Amino acid sequence: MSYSELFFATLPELIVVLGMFLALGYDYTKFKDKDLTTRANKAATLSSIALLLGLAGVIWQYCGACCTTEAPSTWDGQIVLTPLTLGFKALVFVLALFVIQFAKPQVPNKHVSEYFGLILLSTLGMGFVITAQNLIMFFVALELISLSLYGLTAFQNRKDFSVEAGVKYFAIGGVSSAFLLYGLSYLYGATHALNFADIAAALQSGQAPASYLLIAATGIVVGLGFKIAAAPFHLWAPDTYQCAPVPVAAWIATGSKIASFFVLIQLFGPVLEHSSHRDTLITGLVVVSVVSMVLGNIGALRQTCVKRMLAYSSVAHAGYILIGLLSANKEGYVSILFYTVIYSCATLGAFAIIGIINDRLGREANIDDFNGCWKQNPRLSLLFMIFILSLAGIPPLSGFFGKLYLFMAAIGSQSEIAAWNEGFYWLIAVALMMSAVSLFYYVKVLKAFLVSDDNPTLSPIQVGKFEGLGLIVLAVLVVGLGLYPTGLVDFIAAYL
Amino acid sequence: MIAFLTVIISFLGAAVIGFIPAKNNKLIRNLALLVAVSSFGAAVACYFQYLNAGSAVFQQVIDLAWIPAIGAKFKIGVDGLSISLLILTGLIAICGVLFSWELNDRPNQFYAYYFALIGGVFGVFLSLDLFLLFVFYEIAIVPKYFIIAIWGSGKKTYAAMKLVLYSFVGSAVALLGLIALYFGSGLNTFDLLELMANGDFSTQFQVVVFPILFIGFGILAGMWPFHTWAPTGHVAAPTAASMLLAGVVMKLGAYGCLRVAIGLLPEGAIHWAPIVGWIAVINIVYGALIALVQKDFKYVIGYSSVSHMGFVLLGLATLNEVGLMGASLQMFSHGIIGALLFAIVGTVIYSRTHTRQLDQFHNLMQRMPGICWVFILAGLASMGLPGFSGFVSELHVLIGTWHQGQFSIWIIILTGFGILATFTYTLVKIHEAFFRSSPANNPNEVYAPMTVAERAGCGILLLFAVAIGIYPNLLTVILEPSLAPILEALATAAK
Repeated sequence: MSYSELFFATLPELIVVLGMFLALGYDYTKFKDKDLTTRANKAATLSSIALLLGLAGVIWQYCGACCTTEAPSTWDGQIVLTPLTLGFKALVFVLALFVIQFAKPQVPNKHVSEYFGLILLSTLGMGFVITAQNLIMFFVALELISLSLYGLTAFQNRKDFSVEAGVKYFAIGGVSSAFLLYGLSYLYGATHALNFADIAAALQSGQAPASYLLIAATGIVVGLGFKIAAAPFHLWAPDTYQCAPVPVAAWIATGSKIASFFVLIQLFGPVLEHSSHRDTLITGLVVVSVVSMVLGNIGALRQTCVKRMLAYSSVAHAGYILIGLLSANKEGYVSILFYTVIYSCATLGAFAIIGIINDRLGREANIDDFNGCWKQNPRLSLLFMIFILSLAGIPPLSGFFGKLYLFMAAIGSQSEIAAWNEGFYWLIAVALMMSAVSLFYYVKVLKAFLVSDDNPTLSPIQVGKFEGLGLIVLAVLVVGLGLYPTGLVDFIAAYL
Repeated sequence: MIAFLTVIISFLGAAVIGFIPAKNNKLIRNLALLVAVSSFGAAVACYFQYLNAGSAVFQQVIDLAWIPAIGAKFKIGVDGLSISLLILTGLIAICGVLFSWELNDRPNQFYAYYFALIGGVFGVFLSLDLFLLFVFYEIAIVPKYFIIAIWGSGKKTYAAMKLVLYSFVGSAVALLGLIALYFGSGLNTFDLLELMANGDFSTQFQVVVFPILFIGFGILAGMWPFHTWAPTGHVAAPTAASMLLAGVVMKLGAYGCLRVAIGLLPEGAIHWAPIVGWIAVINIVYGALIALVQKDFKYVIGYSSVSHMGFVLLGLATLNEVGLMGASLQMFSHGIIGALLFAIVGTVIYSRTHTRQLDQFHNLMQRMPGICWVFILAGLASMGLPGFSGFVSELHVLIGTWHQGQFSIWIIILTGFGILATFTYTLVKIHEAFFRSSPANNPNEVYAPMTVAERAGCGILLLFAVAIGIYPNLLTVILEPSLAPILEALATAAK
């Protein structure tokens, strides 16, 4: 290990940090007396440029010598740059770029540069969670995400509900971090290793005490279950999504989920594969998964606030994704990563459109507020239809293939697959029925957008060009990955 | 390749028309007609190519890798069964446009959804890969919601939601069965032909999975007791959509039952045939009896669809050559006749009387004799009078039922009763609609004669009903070789 290596390995992050300080510094000094819009524009521009340069850095790393496909040996796995981790880091950067574009027109208060600074910090945290294969590094990075997001959630500090949501998120998040840390400490105690590769090796050798691993696995599921909003650890999600600024809610639903699932499969997967308590763990996961799907989908049925509805739907989606984890094999992990990518694209797009409309209304939009949107904003309506139908899992959009892939990975993992009546078939049946339930509320929103005629509130909305570009890119991803998922699937499978 | 043109033309048409501003109404409907006619043309071209081509059961096969991770391929091809349904779909597409000629509300969106739906339907009939088939099957679900919810009438959002949820639940159940086929075969493929050739499913597996698949697809075929989406959906839908729903979409379900459930799981089919037979009889009799007591003209046709789909299911349950032929013919026959009935009731009569309540029609026979005669012809065709396609198909189904050794005698007796009930409700409703007077309802209003578009639509559909009725060989010649592999599988399974 040398400092130059370290420098090149963290170059993209360094660029982003530099950009963040530039944005903060300019905002405090030169733009101090300008009006809010100008400051927001400047800060957003600087942050975007920093992210773009950081992205260029990631691409350089991908092409250059930093990238390895070998097992990580340097720095005890604290920063591991494989094509996969770099790819996901790039994805997180791109999503953050979109989030910043969507956040630009609607800064909640006068602390403009801090707003974008916190978004950048959480992005860095996600990048580090993805590249870390070491318990300590991963935990610190995860806390970096969480702390930034707590702050962002409470950003409308003039409004009680926003502060309440922030505190709620913070309190439950703190407890869940404690659970996670407790579980990780047992994992360390059982395997005597911090590096994921060494942990996996120790697990494989079968020397780790099984009872320790059970506690470790429980802690990890509870801790990360909170981050991914799986029931019964989801209670923060509806309030937080509803009261946080829209781009922040979108960011919690996408970026932090990608990072959490990325680490969940690396930590929990090996434990599940080699534990002698495998059946117990599987039962626990099945329960979490079913409860998430049922509570999420049933909870979403009667919501009138769209953000709250999407919060419940994200609980349900966490349940679907956990089905992939049950397989405890590589195909299942590939399907999970694939699903997080497409889920993030669709969710971010849907949130962005809701944000645009909220911004126009000056308040939280209810489903009724979208009535007749097709008339004034046909393009937005079309894009929204694509995102929502993908979430609902309608082919040829990517949400369908993603879900099916999760299900098939779970069933395919079973040793005696011909025995139709054993194993996961009934779980898949529950998941399929629940996605039929979900169609009801998704279609209800689409009905407001595309069917209803009367329209008292909305007028044609001028969407900013970067915002529009972001939405179109997301829509193309959602459609394209549905029509041709093979490229991404192969990429993930090749380097996982 | 010509076969796939039907899908391409439809989706392309949907995309292009969707982006034309709504005020160019004339351009849009002409373009829609062009799209429908050209996809129909492609389907007819397939027919002639199939007649002239060699002896392979599946022709024009395109086989491309798609998603190797789950063994899904882009594999399409046609046999006689699919060609007959492609032609039916194209035909209904044309007539649907003709009967929507006066549509003024958001015509661009209407035809975008309309052709997205039709493209999905074409795709299902072409797919030789179960994953691809399912993708098209679901593509056909969502547009139905919007067509009914936006352009429908009455309790339209309720009906649309009910229809979509039923369809989606059906497809979810079917998907579970498809996943089971994928893993149960041990081949890790969705390829229909490979599964048929080398599937080797155990008897226990077949017995368990067959009902899953059959119910899943059967929901869309209007199978009792999952038929309730059909009448409400058909009634609330605008005419073109009712025609498509009754004419084509219900056939998607029947096609899935035949091609996937019976074709791949013959032992399961044999095991469950008596139950399916009973359900089919309930469909026939129950649909006919409910139609008899309806006061709304469109509900009469809606329940008659349920009744007629019972003949398709009964034909499927016979599992013999004549019966399956009858089921395939009945799919085609009910497709055109059901669509014709919906067209006359939903557009031709309704646009003049502005009511569909039978007790408010006043002396229609005198006031719109031409229209009434067309309806009476269609009603006779629906009853299965010789000379019309319904006769040929129902006769095949009945003979097949007679030969089906597993059926109890009561199935045959009740089917006969169902036919009598069909006669009854058709004649009773014709009487109630056209020959009664109800002076309260604008007795002096003069009704306009049929427009050119309406004449064309009715004419085309009647023509096909008569052509198949007089010369069924037109269809049987392509259906016979296509049913052979399924019958062969059944024969092997019976041993």
